Amino acid sequence: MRRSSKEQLDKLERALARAHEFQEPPRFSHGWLDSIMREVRRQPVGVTPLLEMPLLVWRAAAVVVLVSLIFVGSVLTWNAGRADADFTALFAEAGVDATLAGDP
Amino acid sequence: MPEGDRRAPKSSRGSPDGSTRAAPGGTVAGPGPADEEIIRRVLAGEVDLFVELITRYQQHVGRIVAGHVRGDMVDEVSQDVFVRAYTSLPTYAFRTPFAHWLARIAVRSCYDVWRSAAARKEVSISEMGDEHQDWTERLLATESEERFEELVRQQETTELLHWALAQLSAENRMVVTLVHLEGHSVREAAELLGWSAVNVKVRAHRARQQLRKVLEGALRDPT
Repeated sequence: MRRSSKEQLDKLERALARAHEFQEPPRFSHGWLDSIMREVRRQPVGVTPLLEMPLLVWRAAAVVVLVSLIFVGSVLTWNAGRADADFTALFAEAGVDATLAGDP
Repeated sequence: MPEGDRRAPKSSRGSPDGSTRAAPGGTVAGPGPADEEIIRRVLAGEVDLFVELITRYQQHVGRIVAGHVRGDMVDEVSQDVFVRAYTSLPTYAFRTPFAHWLARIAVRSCYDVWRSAAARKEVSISEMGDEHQDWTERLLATESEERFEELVRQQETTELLHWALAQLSAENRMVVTLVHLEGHSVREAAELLGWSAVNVKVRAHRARQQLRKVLEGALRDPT
């Protein structure tokens, strides 16, 4: 390479960017438009929501997951509370039994 | 590289070129129902009215697509964009201008083209041709701005651009084109691609480095 690599690269990159700007806008024929309409008429309306459906699906899924977590969490908390109460009652009962049996 | 700030058109009627490249053209003029009305009527069953939307936005879509794919692919990809727009029309929420909504479909359709080409391993990773090597030599040798502009307008430049972009992954190619070649902000590119801004920002830097590496390799290794 003749000059500094960076300088050359910058120049080449600038040329490519300018070439991108100069690209001619396409000219579509009447046949092109007709073929789109033929394709469009073959399509059933509103079967494939391509663009916004994934976002809606994700939002709905997030809400469902959140609600499920809250539900499962509250059930577990409630169950844990019940289990604690059961154990406490059990030990208390065991203590009472032992006392009745005459253990020190 | 140009750094532009493209403002969103306030109305969905009248300026379809507001969301992508800065080049003017394709502006909707003349009387006629607003986009919203046409869309509602198309959805209500007046399918033939969709032709009015195609007529209004063909230049808008064509420019976007031409910026991302080779010239021989523009017709087919633009056609696909309008068919996808039609099938997705029930999801159009009238919140953003129709031109912006359409631009997102156009950009994502182009991305799909390169992604599926990569999946089919159809992307060319050939060496740069002799004529492009000669062109590069002349470009680097030129001192005057006029000669530079003259060389830039030659067919070889566009071919070299497509060759260089073909060396990138589909994701990097889209980001380089949107951010570095077309001057979109990271936020705009993210919106068009449907990616997070962080993803685009990280990729934009890496993609440009990759492009420069490709070009550097081409300069270093004249074959």
